[in-house]
Amino acid sequence: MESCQPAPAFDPKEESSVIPDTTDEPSPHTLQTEVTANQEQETLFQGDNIDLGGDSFGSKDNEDISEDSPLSFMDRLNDQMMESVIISDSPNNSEDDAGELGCLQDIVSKSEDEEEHKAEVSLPRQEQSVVDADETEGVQVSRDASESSSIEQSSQEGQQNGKLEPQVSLEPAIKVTVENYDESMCKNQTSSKPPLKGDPIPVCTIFSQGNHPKSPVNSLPADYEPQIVKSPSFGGGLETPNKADSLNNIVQPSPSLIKFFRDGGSSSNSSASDFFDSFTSSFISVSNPNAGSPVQEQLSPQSTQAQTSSHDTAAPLFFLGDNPSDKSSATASSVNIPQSPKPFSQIQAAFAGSDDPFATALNMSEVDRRYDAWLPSEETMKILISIATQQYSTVFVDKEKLTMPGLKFDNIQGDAVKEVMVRFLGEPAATTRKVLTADMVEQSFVGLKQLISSKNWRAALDLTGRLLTAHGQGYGKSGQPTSHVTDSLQLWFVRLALLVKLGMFQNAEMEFEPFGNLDQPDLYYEYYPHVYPGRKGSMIPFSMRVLHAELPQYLMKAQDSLDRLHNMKAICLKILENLENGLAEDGSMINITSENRQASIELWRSRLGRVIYSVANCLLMMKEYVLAVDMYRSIIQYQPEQEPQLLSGIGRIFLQIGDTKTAEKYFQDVVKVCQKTENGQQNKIMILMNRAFLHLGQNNFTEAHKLFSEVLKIEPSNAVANNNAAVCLLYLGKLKESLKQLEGLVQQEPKRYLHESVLFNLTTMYELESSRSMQKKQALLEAVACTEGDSFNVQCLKLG
Amino acid sequence: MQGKGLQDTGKMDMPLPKQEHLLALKVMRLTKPTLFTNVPVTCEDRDLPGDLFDHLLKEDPSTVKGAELLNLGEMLTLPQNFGNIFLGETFSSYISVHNDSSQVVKDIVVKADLQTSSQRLNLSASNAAVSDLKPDCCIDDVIHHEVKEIGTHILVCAVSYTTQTGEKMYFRKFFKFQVLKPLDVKTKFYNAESDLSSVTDEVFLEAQIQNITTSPMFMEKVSLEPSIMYSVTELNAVNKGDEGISTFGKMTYLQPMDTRQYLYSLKPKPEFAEKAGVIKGVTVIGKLDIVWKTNLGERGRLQTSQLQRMAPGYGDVRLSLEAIPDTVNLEEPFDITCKITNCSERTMDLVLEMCNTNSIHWCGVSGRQLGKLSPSSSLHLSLKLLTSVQGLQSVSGLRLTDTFLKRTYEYDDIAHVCVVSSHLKPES
Repeated sequence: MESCQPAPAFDPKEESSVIPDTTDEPSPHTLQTEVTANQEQETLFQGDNIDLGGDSFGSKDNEDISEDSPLSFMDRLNDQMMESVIISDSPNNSEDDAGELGCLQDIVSKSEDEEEHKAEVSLPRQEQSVVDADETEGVQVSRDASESSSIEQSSQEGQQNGKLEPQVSLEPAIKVTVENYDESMCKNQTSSKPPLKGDPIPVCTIFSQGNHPKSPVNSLPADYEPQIVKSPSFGGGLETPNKADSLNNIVQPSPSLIKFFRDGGSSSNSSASDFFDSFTSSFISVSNPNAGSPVQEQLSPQSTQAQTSSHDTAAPLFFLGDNPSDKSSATASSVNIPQSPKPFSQIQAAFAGSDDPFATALNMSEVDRRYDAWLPSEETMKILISIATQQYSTVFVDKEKLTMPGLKFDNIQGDAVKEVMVRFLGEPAATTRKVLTADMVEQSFVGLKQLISSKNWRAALDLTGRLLTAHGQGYGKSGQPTSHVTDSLQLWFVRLALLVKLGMFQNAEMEFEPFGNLDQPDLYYEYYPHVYPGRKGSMIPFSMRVLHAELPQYLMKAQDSLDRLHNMKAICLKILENLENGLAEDGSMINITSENRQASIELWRSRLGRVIYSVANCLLMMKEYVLAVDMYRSIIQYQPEQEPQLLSGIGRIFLQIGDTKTAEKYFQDVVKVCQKTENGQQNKIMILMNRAFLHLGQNNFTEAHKLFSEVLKIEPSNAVANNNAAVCLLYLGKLKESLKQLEGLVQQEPKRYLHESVLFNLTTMYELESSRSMQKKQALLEAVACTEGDSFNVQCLKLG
Repeated sequence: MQGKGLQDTGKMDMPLPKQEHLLALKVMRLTKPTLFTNVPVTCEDRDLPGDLFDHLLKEDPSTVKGAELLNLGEMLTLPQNFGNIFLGETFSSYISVHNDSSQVVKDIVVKADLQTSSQRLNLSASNAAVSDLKPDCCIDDVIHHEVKEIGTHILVCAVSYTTQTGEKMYFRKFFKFQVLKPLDVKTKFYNAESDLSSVTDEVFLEAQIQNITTSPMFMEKVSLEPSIMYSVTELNAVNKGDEGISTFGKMTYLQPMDTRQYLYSLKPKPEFAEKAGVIKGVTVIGKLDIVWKTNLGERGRLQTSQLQRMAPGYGDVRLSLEAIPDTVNLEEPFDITCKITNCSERTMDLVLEMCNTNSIHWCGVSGRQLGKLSPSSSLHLSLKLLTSVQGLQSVSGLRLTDTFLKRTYEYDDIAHVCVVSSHLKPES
């Protein structure tokens, strides 16, 4: 097409030698055909005013326009354009996000006010419940005391007592002190003074004894419907001490989860709590101060005596106060902690224990070590070592080094789909929408999993909020001393993962903030030698670290993500190096069987692969394509089975930047790799798909469509091929056919193919098809309402 | 579709309000589709959700099966907005006319024109009338146009049709968009310094090409199409074996606002080289041809206007060097060959003077007659000189005087030589 050379309207700037202006360059002559009747007008309006007359229709419009003042003409133009230009909103409209957030903040600040208010109001009620607790606990503890005949039991209790006391106040330093137990107990008894209103002094305590049903929760954290909420740590149960007996309390195994699900789930209250505790892989569950602990009340003078008497070794007391003189008032006030979420005390001895507890225990500790291994920073290391070695002297931990998370927002998420239904289909239709909400499931991990797997992530988010509130890390508790257990951190992980899944990145960032760089001493097991005796490593799950590292890139801070990911990568490499040098993961000299070492190496290699994946994804997001490609290539050594997919992905990256030649090279490599492996059908599809993409890059939609259709011959339900074939049809000017294909896909198996990308394409085509796209979009909404959970991104329906 | 049909006869003076029309016109710009990217969230088996997250990822149709962590998926999504359009790219658009009514509509003519600031183009593939359109059916057209102008463009879509009652209807819609400049190109010429190149008048062109769009741009081709006087050598690859390795390394693309330098060497073709000495003023060097691609092979192409270069001013008499050693020994005489060309329109009678500088000492007689030199002719001259200072020395101090006009031309810094001591033994 020689005649189609672009016009030289494009003048390069010249720096050195003189270049005369080339405005006199002839513009292309080839396309100037239409210059008869209009020429005069065009010269008249040369410049800004353009003749827009539909000249072939020779309408009067032409004259009108040329007579009009330019301004009013432009107005008219704009008027018409407003309604006719299809400007499709992106499904992830950032403006909408902002709106949502703004609204959220309003609610947050409002609820903040409310909470203070409520705290005062609910106080009398709480006292009432304190009395209840007193009665029940009193009975229970004294029974325990009387039973404490075996040495094991008493030592166990002694240990429990050690933890029973950690008293926390809002002071800038934590002190681990050794103290005379009796004395502190006496103080507790004597100085029961009026409570510090709304400023609860948290108490770390154990909760293993509460085997009597307690009164149900009657006061709940602000903004929640009354609910029986199970705290992760309150579920205790009689079985724990029993089990401890049999297990000699050296290792604290966590019973397998599968076991749990087998007998759990039927009776909602019991199994959930059991599940929770067993999950912690520790028998002693530490309740959190902010959750409102009834422990102080439980201790009748008699039982205190009994317990302290059996407490012969002076266990360290975790005391958070700026100086010892504050202790008395702190402990005193702690007695009267507002009992916001009353312990959910349905405790049942439902837990059966594993068949061979001892073997499981050993095994678990091996697995624990493998999975929990992490290398703290030098500074954190020092603190952890001093805690481990200097149990009998004071260890100061700066408050800034402690993790004090709390919910940053507590508005109920609700059902996004239903909201849209109310707006577009009316109330009656919306009432037909049935999805699980946080209220409808068990208030436990079981319910949480149920919500996640049914894609009700918003409800799941609500539930994590409740569970964390029950743990004392609820709304507004950020910055208040607290303690961590495996479960609470797992809950945080799930919550933050859900926020990311829901695209609520800012919220996730806010709630991540108290966790710092996930390296604070109280996020390691070593920090709690009495809760997790002998256990080492990170309480923060590895997946949470990945999440934490990945998050900033979604908030335009990709560089931060890279920094964090590279830090993780370095630690993974170091751990692998340790393992290969015959050391344990953390570099200590522990004998590890070669089997276990191999398992560890495998785990950490796959984790390293996971981190590199994130680095590559992040680089891709930053549009650093060359680096991203290098990273993806390097994943192949960790995940060799993914080589064809990775090479195809790299090919698509090149295609995306327009480098079709290099893309083709990679696609050819895929063919070579595929020849070596079995997996015939999947490979065949991949090769066809790649060829189709290459044709797309060469603007050959016909050929691309043919290839996508070939994939469909092999696998008719292939969503990607279906969708892509439909997209090709549109570019070929076959709107109706394209629509038919996509609609077919959605009807075929709505549960699977109501995907936001497919729906986005479909609604875009509806908009293109007719001015009555709204009806069809509403029909789609109804389809979505039947199958999708509350987290479905309804924006892809572009309902407006 | 059929060939050219006749134009519609009926005219509506005023377009009816939109809702009263039986047909709806919709236009969508067809930029290349994009690949859907997902946000993979994973956990390990031991974490609270167990295999739930992985399961969700595997079930998600937009993830890559077998490599769910790869965030660049295979699912194509249609363009989400109009986007930007740049000079040299192809504007493609889907035009759909849909019968929203419940009656058959007849004699439909859809016409798409593109109005630029300088011209009006008809983009419809066919202007033929469609005889009838049943309810809920469409007339589809995909138009393409390579954008050749910067600034406001307006797509004018006009639809005329006849209702069942025989009423002739007509409406138009306007779609305005701006065409932007994709690249910033700066050029710079370098005249090869003295030495042998002056014989051939070799010129180097540096072209700085900056991507001023907001997306990465793959430079498929950047070539210099020389004007008839020159032949060109691209200096953007290093030849190793059979393959040329690009000087840009693995970066095959330009990030937004990135600039890349391309270098070309231009030599006048032999037939013009003869007259090289007399090339004066502005000469046309050639033009740059740039082809780029962006998302999924969206292609753009531009050519610059003719690049022009002001030939270096040689004055009336040009003195160039034909031969000079690069390294000479200290205080040892060496020879250089000069070429003196009369660039003026008249005959000259030249006298050569040689002035010594601090380091350069000319051997031979200063003030010798070179004789008459007619316009455009040249003479070769062998001169002897020595230097008294080590290091890189500049050859200067030649003076030519035209005795007719009593005008003196000075030639300093003609070339450089490296002066080394021949007596210096390496080991001492």
